Amino acid sequence: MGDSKLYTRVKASDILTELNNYEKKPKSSVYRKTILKKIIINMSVGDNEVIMLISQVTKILSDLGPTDSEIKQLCYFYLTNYWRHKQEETLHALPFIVNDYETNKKTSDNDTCLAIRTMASIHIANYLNSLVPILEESLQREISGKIRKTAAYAVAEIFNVNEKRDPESNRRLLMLLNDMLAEEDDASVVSAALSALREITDKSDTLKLSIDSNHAVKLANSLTGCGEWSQVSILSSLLSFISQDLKTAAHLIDTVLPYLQSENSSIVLNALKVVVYLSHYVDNVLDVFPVLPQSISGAVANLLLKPAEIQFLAMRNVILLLLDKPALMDLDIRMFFCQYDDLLYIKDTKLEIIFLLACQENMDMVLAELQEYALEIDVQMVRKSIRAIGNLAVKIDATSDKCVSVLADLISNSIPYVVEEVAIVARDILRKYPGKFDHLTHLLVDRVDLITEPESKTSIIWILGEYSSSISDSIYLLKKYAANMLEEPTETQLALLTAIIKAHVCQPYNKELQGLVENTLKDVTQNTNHPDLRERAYFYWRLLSAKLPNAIDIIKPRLLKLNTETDALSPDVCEELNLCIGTLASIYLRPVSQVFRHVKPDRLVDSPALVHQDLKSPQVRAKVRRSTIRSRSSTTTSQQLGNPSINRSRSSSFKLDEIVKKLSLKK
Amino acid sequence: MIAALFIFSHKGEVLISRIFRAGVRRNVSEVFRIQVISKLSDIKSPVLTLGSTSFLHIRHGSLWIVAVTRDNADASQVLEFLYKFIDLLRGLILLSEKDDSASDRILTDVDVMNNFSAIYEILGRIIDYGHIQDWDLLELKSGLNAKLTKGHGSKKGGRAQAATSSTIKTGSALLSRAASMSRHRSSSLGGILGVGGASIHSGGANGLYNSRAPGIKYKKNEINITVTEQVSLLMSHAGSIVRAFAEGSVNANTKLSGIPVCSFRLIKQREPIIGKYERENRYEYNEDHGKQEPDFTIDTEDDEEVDDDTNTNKEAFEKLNECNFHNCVNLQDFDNDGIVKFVPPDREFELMRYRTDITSLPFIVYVEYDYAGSDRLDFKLRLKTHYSKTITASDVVVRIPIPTGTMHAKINSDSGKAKLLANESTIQWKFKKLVGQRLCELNAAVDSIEGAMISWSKSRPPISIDFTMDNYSTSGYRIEHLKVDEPNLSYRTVKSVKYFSLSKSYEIRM
Repeated sequence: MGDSKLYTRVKASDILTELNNYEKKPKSSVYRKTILKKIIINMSVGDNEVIMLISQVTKILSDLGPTDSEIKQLCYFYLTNYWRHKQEETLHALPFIVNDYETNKKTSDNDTCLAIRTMASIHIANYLNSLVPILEESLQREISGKIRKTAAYAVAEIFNVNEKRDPESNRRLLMLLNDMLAEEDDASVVSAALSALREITDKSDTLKLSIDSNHAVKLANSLTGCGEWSQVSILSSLLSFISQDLKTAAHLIDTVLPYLQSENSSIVLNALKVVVYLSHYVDNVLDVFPVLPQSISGAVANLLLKPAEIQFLAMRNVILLLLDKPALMDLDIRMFFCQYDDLLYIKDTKLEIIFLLACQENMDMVLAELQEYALEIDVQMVRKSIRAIGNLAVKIDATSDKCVSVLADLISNSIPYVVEEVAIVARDILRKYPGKFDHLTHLLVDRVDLITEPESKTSIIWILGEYSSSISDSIYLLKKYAANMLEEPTETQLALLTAIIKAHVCQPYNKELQGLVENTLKDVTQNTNHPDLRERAYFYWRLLSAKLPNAIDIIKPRLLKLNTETDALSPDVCEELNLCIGTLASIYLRPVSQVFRHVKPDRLVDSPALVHQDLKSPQVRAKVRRSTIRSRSSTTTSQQLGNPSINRSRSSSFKLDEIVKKLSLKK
Repeated sequence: MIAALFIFSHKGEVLISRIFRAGVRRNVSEVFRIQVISKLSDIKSPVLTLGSTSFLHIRHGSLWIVAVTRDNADASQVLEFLYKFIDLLRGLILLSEKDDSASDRILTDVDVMNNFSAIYEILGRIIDYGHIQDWDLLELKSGLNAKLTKGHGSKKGGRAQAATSSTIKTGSALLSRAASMSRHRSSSLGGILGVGGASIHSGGANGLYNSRAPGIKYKKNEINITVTEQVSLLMSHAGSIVRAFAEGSVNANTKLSGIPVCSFRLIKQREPIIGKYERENRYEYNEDHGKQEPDFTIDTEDDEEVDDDTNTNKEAFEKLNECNFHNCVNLQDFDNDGIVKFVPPDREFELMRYRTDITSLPFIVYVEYDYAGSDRLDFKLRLKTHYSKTITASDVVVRIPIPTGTMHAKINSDSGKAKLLANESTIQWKFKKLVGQRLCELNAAVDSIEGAMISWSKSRPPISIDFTMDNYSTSGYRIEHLKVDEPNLSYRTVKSVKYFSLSKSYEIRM
């Protein structure tokens, strides 16, 4: 018999009468359990009327709790949800829970944990008073690992509340947690203590978690001995370690590297995070670890076999690395070719990666693939792949011919949305390579009737205005557009006005154009209500009637060179995001403080070993290799030189500290 | 860190709601329902962030499993956990049938409702104040207070339809469903069986993670290893390989006494495979494949082959790069010398997975089609099997997508059974058994309507092939030097290794 038929909304008053009815009957415990389940279900589905039944629930707890663990845990669950609203009544349950802890602490780990967890979730003073001694007891060494883990988390949970109430006991608990870090026999307990401490320090302004190098090495070595989620927690806490020298950092990378092959994607991404983080502290990291690109790429390939959501996350992080440290990866672009049944957001992300990975060498393959997508029936996908082809033409000069010929090929099918999208990308291509691809313009102009969407209309009008002298039909087409000008959206109207004037200043003696300019200006200034448009028309009108000799420089100035590096992230953002691999910020690829307002961003902490190396260009590897011998020999000398200088800088900072202290004392 | 977890039914009703951290309001579930579930048509991302609260969701059949986090949480941890959690529930709730179909089944909302009390208890155990804990399936199962109500679940197939937006319909829906089905199958197995255990004994003398109970004893000591490879291929219409790889999964079933240490190596054996297709070769002779008759002759002993044989020694130690392992394998050992060394848990589990590019394709389809008028289409198909004659593939199904609304087709094939599946708009060509080194032909003339022909010629969904092959590893990887060593009990072990190859998404674009 399942409980699914209990999933109905019930009025609190009905439950109450039901309870009262059954109270008298024999075997009431079975009925009361069912009623309790109904209460919990109503709580789950968000019917908060059941808050009113709190005293009934505590009664069930004290009557049936000791014998039936299921009832006990359901009641606890109820209490942790609703204590805030009924603090008085919640207090009645406290003796029961404390008693529950006392009776079970030697026999059942699960029940003990449950009791501790419940008490820690209820932030009422009396609960905390009873909880603190319990926690102090449970954090002791001889208690089983399971309980100590729960107790460690509980400390983090109550830390902020308790700080105001009783700072002294808080300090004791913190020390106990700190002691747990030093233990060696149970890595999962250490990981729990680490998570708890990290949570406390994240919220606090005064406390800071730092791990020294001995401890970091110990932690990394303990990874083999613990379960998967403890591994995740240990790996991510390694980011609190600030490497002071190259050797420790390199050693840690070496230890963590195998975890890139784990089956658990979270371990993989966290290991990646550690490797990327520590690579900041290893000079010439690719010489020390020539396998690094290969290992990371292997890990990426594995992540792509995971379910869509995880694939998505992994690929966002690939984008991050490609923007900042492409040299760390050696990816096969074919991995990111879309599959027929990929979800839209996966296809999107893959396209982005294909765009980033495309280079002169693989361009044939990439174009063939993108062309394939552009022939699909999914309009969104088609548009995106055409845009990618266009952007590639702008990005890589050497292969722009190939890209444009693919685009030309695509237009020849005369599918409206294809033509529209090509019109949009054509604008940038023509700007980047003036005079090189006039045939593209002609192909577009031939199909100008297919273009209806505003954005691409604006684009084609811009092209007509800019290159009017080389397009034979331009005047005729501009005239045609001008005839319906007032029905267009403002954006198109503005573009059209500018285009007509531009065409005019290029061919000032063309009668037809003169007429068109006059008509348009008249039309716009008299009939439009849009202030921007009217003002611009007046502006042009005056400019033209002033007959300035350099009017053409104002109206049709020489175009600035197109900046193709718009997709790069700023170094600051990259530095911050590198520490956020696998987190939500990596999905948005935006600085943490922009996504989450109250979070303080992590920064790379300066240390003598911190190096700024260029991992930008994928080709850097070859270059570095050539200079290996030289740099190796130089590193040895620089290390000798480096050591004293480290000491010096430390001692000087020490002195500075002392001076500051003295000064403050004098005050 | 997970602040709250919800399970919704497909209609958006809350089935399970558990809040782990203060600071999350109860009504966040309502926010998710309005923002995501009711806007089913366009899911742009599995993550939604509003203010400092984020929702990360996955789908399981018709269910929505949603985790709520605050601030910049570790998304990798949350997503991985959601999948592992569902696998755990499936392992506990669904009836464990021995056959393969059990792992194909998915939970329904009724299963969740029936077991709500147990699910709350499990959540309490595996998430402590939002921190995910290590768990062990068996330990968890034995310690449950709430009773589990076993369920049958439902057959797979909901997801593909629900998730893919309106873009692809008809014949392709079938293809995509097949693909997602196999994807689920592969991902689920590992999850149910191979979840890392809570550490009872941490780190033995050999530094291996060990989750075995002490004192296990078997009369007959056995280790059975099954290597299953799922083969994916995407070949462009010109005949060049866009993608060709195999995803291998090594499952081990051990019945071993004491605390045994097992080890093996995965070695790539390149038997001289006849009629193989080098990636580079394909690239060169692609362009004009449509006109030129492809070379069907069997190139038995070319100079090339000899070259390859001399290369075998070198390739034998070619290390797998794209692989991952169960928690029990010592990753550092594998990293050092390529030995897979582990203390197996006492049950069947997925030991490792790998992905590798393949150079020999078991099946190749050559297709030509002509438009005979505006409403008629002629197909000519050749299916070539490129594996050795001693191996037989079974249940080979070739699906050829044709224009929608086709009612009649004249189909001629020299072997196998071919028929028109009108409601799926495909021609299905089926072989119960198919031996290696064969060439089969099929001719078909399809009558359709003009509009359907045009949309077909624009989209042209790919031809797909399904197959199952015993004793065949497509990638050529084999398990060698399998050793079982129990220092205290020294016994003899019966060892067996089996190989299978299955199609995952084996597609040839038209």
